[in-house]
Amino acid sequence: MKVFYRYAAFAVMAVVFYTAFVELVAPDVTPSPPPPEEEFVDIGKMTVEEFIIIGERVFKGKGSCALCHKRVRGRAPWLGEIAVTAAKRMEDPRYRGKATNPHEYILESMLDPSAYVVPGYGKKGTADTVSPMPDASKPPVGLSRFEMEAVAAYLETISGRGATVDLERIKKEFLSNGR
Amino acid sequence: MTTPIPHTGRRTTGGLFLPFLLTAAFLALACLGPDPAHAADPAGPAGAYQAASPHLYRHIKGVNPRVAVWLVAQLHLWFAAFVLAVPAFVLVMEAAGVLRKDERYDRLAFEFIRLSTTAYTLTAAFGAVLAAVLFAFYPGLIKYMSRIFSPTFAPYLLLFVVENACLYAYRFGWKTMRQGRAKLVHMGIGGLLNLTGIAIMVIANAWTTFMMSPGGVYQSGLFSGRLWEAINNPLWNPLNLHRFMANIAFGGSIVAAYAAYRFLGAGSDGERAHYDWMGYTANFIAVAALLPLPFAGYWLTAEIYAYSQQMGITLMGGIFGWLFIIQAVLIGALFLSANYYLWCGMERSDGGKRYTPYIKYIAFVIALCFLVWFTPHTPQMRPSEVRAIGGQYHPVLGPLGLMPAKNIAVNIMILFTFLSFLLHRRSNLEATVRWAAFGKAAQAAIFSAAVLNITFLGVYYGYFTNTVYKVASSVPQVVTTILAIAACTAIDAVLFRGAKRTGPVRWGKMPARSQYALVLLAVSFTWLMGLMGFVRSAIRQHWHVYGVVRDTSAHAFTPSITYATRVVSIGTVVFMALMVFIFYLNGRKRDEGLL
Ligand code: HEC
Repeated sequence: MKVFYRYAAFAVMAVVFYTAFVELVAPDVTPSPPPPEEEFVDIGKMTVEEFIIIGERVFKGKGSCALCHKRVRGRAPWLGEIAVTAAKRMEDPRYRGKATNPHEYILESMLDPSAYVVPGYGKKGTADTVSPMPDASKPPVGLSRFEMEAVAAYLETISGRGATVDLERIKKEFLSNGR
Repeated sequence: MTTPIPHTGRRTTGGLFLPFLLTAAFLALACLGPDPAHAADPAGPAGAYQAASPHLYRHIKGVNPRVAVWLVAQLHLWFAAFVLAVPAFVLVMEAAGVLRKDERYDRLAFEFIRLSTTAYTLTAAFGAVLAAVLFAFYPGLIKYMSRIFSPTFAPYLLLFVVENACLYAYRFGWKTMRQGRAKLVHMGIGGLLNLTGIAIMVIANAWTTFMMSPGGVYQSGLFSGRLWEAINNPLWNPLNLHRFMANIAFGGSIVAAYAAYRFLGAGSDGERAHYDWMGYTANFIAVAALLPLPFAGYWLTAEIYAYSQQMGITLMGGIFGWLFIIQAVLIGALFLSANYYLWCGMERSDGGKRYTPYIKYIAFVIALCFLVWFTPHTPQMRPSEVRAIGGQYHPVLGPLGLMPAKNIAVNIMILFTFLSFLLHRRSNLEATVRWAAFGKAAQAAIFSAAVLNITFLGVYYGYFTNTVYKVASSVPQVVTTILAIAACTAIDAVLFRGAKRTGPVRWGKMPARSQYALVLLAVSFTWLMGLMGFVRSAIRQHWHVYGVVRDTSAHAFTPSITYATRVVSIGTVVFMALMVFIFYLNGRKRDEGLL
């Protein structure tokens, strides 16, 4: 028993000694805090890839789209292939919108969700004529045109179709109205 | 030589509550800790879009997530290092037992593996807790990492299961598979155990090093789909080597601490003799693996520089520079205690007395080297100064050039430790070959020439040439050290072939204080590993994945050295407490037939 305590005490003493050594010798300087987050994307120099990343961030963050649109047990259709399914949606006789390509279809879905309601997902009692999805451009989400374009580019990318982005137009619009 | 037969003598009790007490203390600490928030500036520059990061963290009130992950990861790593290292030298020892037809090695090997089996359970437990804690606090990061590394998860788990099976077959099959072909099968299982263990470590290292030097991803963090590039990132192999070697040294030191524990509590001479021998062997393993470790460290550092100059400067300059001074002190302590242990060991035989007068000179030289190494240099510079002269550095090995004097010191320290080993080895031998005097003179000449050469290289390249060449000295110095050790060992092997024994080696005839040198060795290794592990991780600064995934939590800041030290010290105490608990359990078990 004595051995055990002597042994343990010696080990602890060694640790205490080292700790004390550091406390005495090393300067207790607190390293400078991390630089402010470089989350500002310079639009003038933005690349398509950066634009898509913004889209992903908005989709998962500010837009809160990922809350409903999940692959598993989502309350809304999965959007992993939306650029492909969009073509079928637009041919559907129930379609009431004006989109002519997947990019426009996605944008329209955000602004006017009821232009087409995926069967089985409509508001209860409306026979799939009214979408439960909120207008993404209105509060509380309040996405800007720029952000919606980015989300659309992101969704097109993950559908494997490649994004159709007119980067120059988007940049010009953003720089003229700031959003 | 007689086989020492240990028996279960007086047992210590009451160690039970200690580990739990400390674990509770550690949990309490994890729950406290500072929680300063660095608020981000909300207003952005004109013409810029602010991409707010998605929700990446989960908060649990009162818990400091970073400290929790830090401590659990460190504990997992310590145990993992131990259970990875032990099978490596157990297998070597088992083979040595078979080749030399010496039962003692077999028994010792078995006792080693028994220790590691208990530790294995704790390794797995801490691994599971680590996964849980990471998922709980850093779901965003884990999701990101999984998206890239998920194909490695299944092999990892599979290897874990196989390793587990091997370990149990190896340990519990030891008695039944002792003879003839069965022994070969048994060693085959041991080999597989080692391979799976290494594979597991290598996979985990890929995740870790990816976070330091990501490969296979774009600057924005977007994964390219090329998994192999992510795995085979620049720091992967340097870390694999460094960790493997450090694990062996660390594992050896822990086993030596176990032997010391049993030695001190031994109830009979036989038991004492057995554990003395075990301690000696384990210490030998630890020091043998420690000697080449600095070279692996050089490689790792050089690769860090090559990957990112910025990261290298963070590592060697500024605040972290201090940690290398602390490391120097610790390594000095390691060398001193290893040497001290060897010197005590010369008392085991009568012939050892012949060498006692030399010890004070060796001690003097080692102490002197220690002081040289201890003299601060780099840390006196401010980070800005380091940055200012950064351009003049050798692009790859730059910072090492600052340490010519330290390079001399460490190489000489290694050589003199080797000298202690040589003297210890000869303590009960007397060379009988005709050319004995000549052989010894040759050794002395090689040794002196090596010391002179190391000093010359260090001084010449370090102080009389252009900065670019400063670093050039370290490689030939290391080569000199290695060559000298190899040559002297080779001569020694022939010189003492068929040597006359001046008397028996009386294992167990060791002063108790020598055993505390072994304990100090283990504690120092553990603590040092924790501290340098912190550095390795901390040089990522405010990045989860360096340059790619930013740490946007309130804990993105680098803590002060003193704060980090305290966390590491708590971890060390918890680890040692749990380890001593394992020692205690192993000591209590009735020795199974073999022993
Ligand atoms: C409250 C839950 C909810 C949120 C939040 C939400 N959606 Fe939806 N979304 C739905 C539902 C339900 C549907 C299916 C009904 C429909 O077609 O309108 C849908 C349909 C869509 C469709 C058409 C799918 C198809 O297969 O035709 C797109 C595109 C879409 N959402 C995009 C978004 C984007 C982008 C956001 C984020 C800005 C978002 N949604 C946010 C619930 C949501």
